[in-house]
Amino acid sequence: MEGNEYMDIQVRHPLVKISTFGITQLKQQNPYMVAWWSAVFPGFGHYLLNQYTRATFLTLGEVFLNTLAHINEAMIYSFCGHFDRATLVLEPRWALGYLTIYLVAIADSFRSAIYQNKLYHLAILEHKKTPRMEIFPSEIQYIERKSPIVGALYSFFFPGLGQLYNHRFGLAFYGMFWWWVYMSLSKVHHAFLVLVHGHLHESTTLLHPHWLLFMPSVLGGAVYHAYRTSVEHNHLFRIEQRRYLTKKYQHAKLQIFP
Amino acid sequence: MLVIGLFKQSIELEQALAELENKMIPKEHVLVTFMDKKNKEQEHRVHPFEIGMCFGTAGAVIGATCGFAMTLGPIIWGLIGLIIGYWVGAGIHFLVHIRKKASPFLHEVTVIVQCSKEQFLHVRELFWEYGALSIGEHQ
Repeated sequence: MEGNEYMDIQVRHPLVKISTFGITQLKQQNPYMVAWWSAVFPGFGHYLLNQYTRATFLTLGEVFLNTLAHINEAMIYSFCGHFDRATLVLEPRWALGYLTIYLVAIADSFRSAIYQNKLYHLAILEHKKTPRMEIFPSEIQYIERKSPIVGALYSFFFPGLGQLYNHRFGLAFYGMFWWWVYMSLSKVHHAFLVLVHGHLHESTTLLHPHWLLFMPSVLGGAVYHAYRTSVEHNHLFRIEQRRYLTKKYQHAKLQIFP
Repeated sequence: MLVIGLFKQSIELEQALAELENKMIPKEHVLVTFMDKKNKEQEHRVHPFEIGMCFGTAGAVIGATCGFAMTLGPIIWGLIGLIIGYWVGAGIHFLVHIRKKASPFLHEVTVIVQCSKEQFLHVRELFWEYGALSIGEHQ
């Protein structure tokens, strides 16, 4: 056992963990970006912080509470100028609680991003060894150089595919499942076909506004998450490779000037 | 003699190094140096695409909501909102960072190998095979 003190420090601030579900890592965060994505869809900021479980519960809460409180309908009425109708459609029993959770989720992700930056700083200075790959009975997970734009495009075509590209298959199938739900409940595919045939008015009346309004946020969030995760995997790949090869070839004895 | 290879950081670089050792070039005759960018913080700087996506998502939500009251409908207005929002966001980013140019980043790793004349061709071929950006030699 070499360097017991180092071992303790490593355990204290690990930078990355490779598990069956993919790569979970500390990273340099922009707190405003994290807070913004929490505002777009509660939970999305926490996904960027790699706090996958609480993020998933927040997104579930968003869908159910928004549906119960009729937030999306109220948004449409407000943006179209029908403020009286917006007031009527909101369900006060759920709306106030929704608002509280919504705002606290933003604040919590902002605060956590700032704290994780400090942890990242310590982790990057302290740790000596990063894992490269792990083999599990049901999965092989590894740090790979990715193209952020390819990840973003995958998620643009179908939210969840970008997460699959980044080996985060749990989130990938969760995202794909909900995209199917939004597509079928909002009837967007049907409305799109009618639209392509030039029937503008029928297309609009076909759409279910409540479910349609989840879609732009989810699409944007999935694209951004895929892009950002690819960037971070690349960063991790560089750190790990640099540490390992620098150590391996530290005793080079070349004769450059004979 | 010396062979100098410039690489990007990739798994292929490690394949090349593993093959080198397999070809009986001792570890002590290999020098691997990682190159730094001019500003290290650049790695964490926000890309225009990120700001574009932030504004684009906001634009798509607003476009889709307002679209219910407009002739073209929510799908088309949502897409228009996405495109306008994206370019507003990316435009703001360009305006803010107009003076700060990113330094060009050509290669990330320099590998120097000391080998005999007989091994030289093998080493060079190996480097090309595993994605070297540029190779130099010194007799």
